[in-house]
Amino acid sequence: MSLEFLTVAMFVTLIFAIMLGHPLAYTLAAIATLFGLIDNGFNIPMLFEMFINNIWGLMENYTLVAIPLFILMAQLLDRSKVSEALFESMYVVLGSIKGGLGLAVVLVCTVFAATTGIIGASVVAMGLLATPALMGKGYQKEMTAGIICASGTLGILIPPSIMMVVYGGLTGMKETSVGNLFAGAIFPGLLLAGLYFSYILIRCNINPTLGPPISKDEASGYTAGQKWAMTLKSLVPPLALILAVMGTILGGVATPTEAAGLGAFGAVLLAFFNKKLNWTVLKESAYATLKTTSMVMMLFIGGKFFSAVFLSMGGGDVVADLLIGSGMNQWIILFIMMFIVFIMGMFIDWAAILLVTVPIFLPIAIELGFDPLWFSLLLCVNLQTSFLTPPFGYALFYFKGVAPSQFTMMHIYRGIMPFVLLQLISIALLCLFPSLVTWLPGVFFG
Amino acid sequence: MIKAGIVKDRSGSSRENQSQYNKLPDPVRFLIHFLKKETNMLESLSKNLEKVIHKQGDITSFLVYPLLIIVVYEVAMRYVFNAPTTWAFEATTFLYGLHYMFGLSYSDVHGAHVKVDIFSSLTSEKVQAVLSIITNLVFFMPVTICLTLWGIKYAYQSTLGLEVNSTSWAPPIWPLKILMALCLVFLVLQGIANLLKDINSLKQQGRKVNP
Repeated sequence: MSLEFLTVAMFVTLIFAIMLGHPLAYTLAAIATLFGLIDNGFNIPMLFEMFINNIWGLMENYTLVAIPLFILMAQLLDRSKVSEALFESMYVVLGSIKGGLGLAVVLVCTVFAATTGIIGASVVAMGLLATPALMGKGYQKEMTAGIICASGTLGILIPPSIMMVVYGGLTGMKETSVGNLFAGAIFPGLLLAGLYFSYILIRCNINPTLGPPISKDEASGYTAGQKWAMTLKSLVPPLALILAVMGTILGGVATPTEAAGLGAFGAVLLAFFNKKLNWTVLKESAYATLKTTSMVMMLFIGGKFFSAVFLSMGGGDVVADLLIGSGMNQWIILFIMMFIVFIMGMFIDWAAILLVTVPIFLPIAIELGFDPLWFSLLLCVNLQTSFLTPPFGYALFYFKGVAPSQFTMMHIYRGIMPFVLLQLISIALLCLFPSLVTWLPGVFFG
Repeated sequence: MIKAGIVKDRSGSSRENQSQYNKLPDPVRFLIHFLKKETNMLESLSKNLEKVIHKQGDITSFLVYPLLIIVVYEVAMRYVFNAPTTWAFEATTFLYGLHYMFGLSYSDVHGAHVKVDIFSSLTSEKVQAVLSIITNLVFFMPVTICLTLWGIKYAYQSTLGLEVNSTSWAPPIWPLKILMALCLVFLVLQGIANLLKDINSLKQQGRKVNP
């Protein structure tokens, strides 16, 4: 069998196998096994010795130690009700403008995103907290769903983020180290949050029935001083955590793994001061952390098998020859790679896409002369869409799980469309202004 | 309670079914009889397996706290007391590795591993159970069983040489490799539990449609 045929067959088989509904991680491992055996002439011991070495290698990967720590931090924060206090104060401060509650959700999610690295917790927390408030004020269903799903997913882009830890741990390159990725993601993350913010503001001012302001009585119940005090009080804990995590990384004081430890430790302290630290919280946080960590790591194992087999049989070169050898303009090749990632995002989740595509695409991007860090961040912004694009978007299902029953899947699908468009616009902006990504890492890490 | 179910099931079957049953060749009759009786055993076996997986995960999930303490301790020692340890770096990776390896089966028993079930969820429960059994046998079992076997071999070789890490702290790593193999065994057990559960649900549905 020719190499080209095997390369295509491996992907076609993967797509078909995934649709059968078996857990993705196992499916990746199985396809890797099948094609690994075809490639090495059915030498079973050789293949599995390589796999076991891969697993052991993962167990010794220091970068990835940050994953359980960041997840633990998110679990503890979620249980110490930090975002609730912040939303209450933003509700009062921003509620009186058109679309103000939507803006409050974006702001709370942005701050929360800068303290945690996963999305499940923020979408669920905001879904439970903000949906009743927004619906009570007569927000359009589509708008509500869109705002909460899109803002909730900011957590995976705005650093610290599990996605970037996985990315850094996967590539092991100096240019795409976790610290560089974190620094590079700050402006793209804020840009996206800014786009959401402006969109809601403009859309609700044109058509106030989409997001009406809260009543005058409710708004005038607080003096300006009280509003300031509420805001400051609710902002101090998350800001302290942001300083502990991002400050130590950017200042070059701690590695991302150590910063994750400090963040989780800060979350324990915060829970303690909020009088939320007890056996149940510790226990439930530990259970939830293990479940999420192992889910990501099982994908890592399956994805690692897949890319190891794919690259060792020369599939990476086949794809590279196909794209670079075609003589197409480098930007068209970039567009093709991004388009593939976008389409994959409709069906599978970010970790699997990242683990399968990065080992193939990153070398191509480097060969085309693109900055590896810039390309990586482009990919990460693109992967944001995988949470939101129908039919299979994680955030949408999380939201559906906690939203009142009057929300149908169609409301959510329709509501999310403008925000997916905004994400695509932000990718275009990053292409036009690459310094949005590359400037900050240069400042901090030279 | 389960016994009563079987009795009811038998008495509930019509005379026609009974005569059809009698016409069947002996091995088939034996198989049906065996499977009916074994249903309870399969069910309790899969439940017990899942109980074990739940328990081990509940316990090992707490590994994240010592992991956290060591990371923070190392940061404090290095930056505050300017006295970095020689062991914290390795100890954190060991704990992190064990933590998620023990969790692989735990995530599975909680159904936390992501899957694309938008297409299979459109089919009937029976088709889903069949599909689940097939994918389990084709995708999951061969790979995880082989991984476990080679994991055991890997641990065995390491244990024979009482392998230590080639670092200044030089901690023994053979116990770690044994635990890694154990975690893979747990994963296979969880796969078996899933298989038994699917077979069971298939049989119960078969009973519903054609009692």
